[in-house]
Amino acid sequence: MTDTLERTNEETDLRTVVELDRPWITLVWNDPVNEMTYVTWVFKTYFGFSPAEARKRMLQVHTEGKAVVATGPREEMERHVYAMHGYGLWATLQKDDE
Amino acid sequence: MKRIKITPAGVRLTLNEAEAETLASVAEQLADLLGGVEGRIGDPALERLLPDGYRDNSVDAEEFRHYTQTDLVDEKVAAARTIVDALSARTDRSKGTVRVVLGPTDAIAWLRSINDIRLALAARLGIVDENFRPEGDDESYNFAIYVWLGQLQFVLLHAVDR
Repeated sequence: MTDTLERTNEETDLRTVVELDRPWITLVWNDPVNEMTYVTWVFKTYFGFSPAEARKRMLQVHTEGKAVVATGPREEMERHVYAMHGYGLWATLQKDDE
Repeated sequence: MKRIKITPAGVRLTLNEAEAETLASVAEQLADLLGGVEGRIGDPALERLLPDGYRDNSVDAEEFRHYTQTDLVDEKVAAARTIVDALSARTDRSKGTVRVVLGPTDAIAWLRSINDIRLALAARLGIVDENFRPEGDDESYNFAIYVWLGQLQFVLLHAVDR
């Protein structure tokens, strides 16, 4: 009986740890206003992406409707979302659901 | 008229009088719109300029807004003022043209604020995709400004992003 309870507790703890470790992501969403060249420039300027990488993510936003542009702790993702809103890009953060 | 020239002092932008007046006017309107954010809940232009940071979670979205909105508004108003100030302080004014020289920081403020003005205009016009066609004089006028600002942003971006 004691054994079972201890094991259950361990499993719960592990699940909590996994939950806490799940990273957050910054998503940029497609919109009909922002020009492709501008979005690419923002990705290069702010995130330091190479021109090829910036263009790839921009095209992903354009064709798939959204792209993940950053992964990490929640506070960091909030800073990125704030910065994207400063540039006029439509960004949100959420827990990585994959 | 050469629109853009790279000079040692920065990017030199040449506008005609009408363009300069229009740009100063819409930048001023953007600053006014953002300055009145508290009393204008539900305004589509403000909703686009100051979007939610979280989807499908109104509690987190509200908290994020609570902690960030004032700074974001201040940033955007300051960028709009950069445009207004540069155009009113213009030094070289001859033959109906207006010239401003933008250092790196100002050029980026211009790019960001021109983008904000386009977002606000698009929200007012109800642009939801690339097939938008304006109806009536007012819409046509505003849409022409919207398109022109896109071109201005493009040439400015090309000069900054070298």
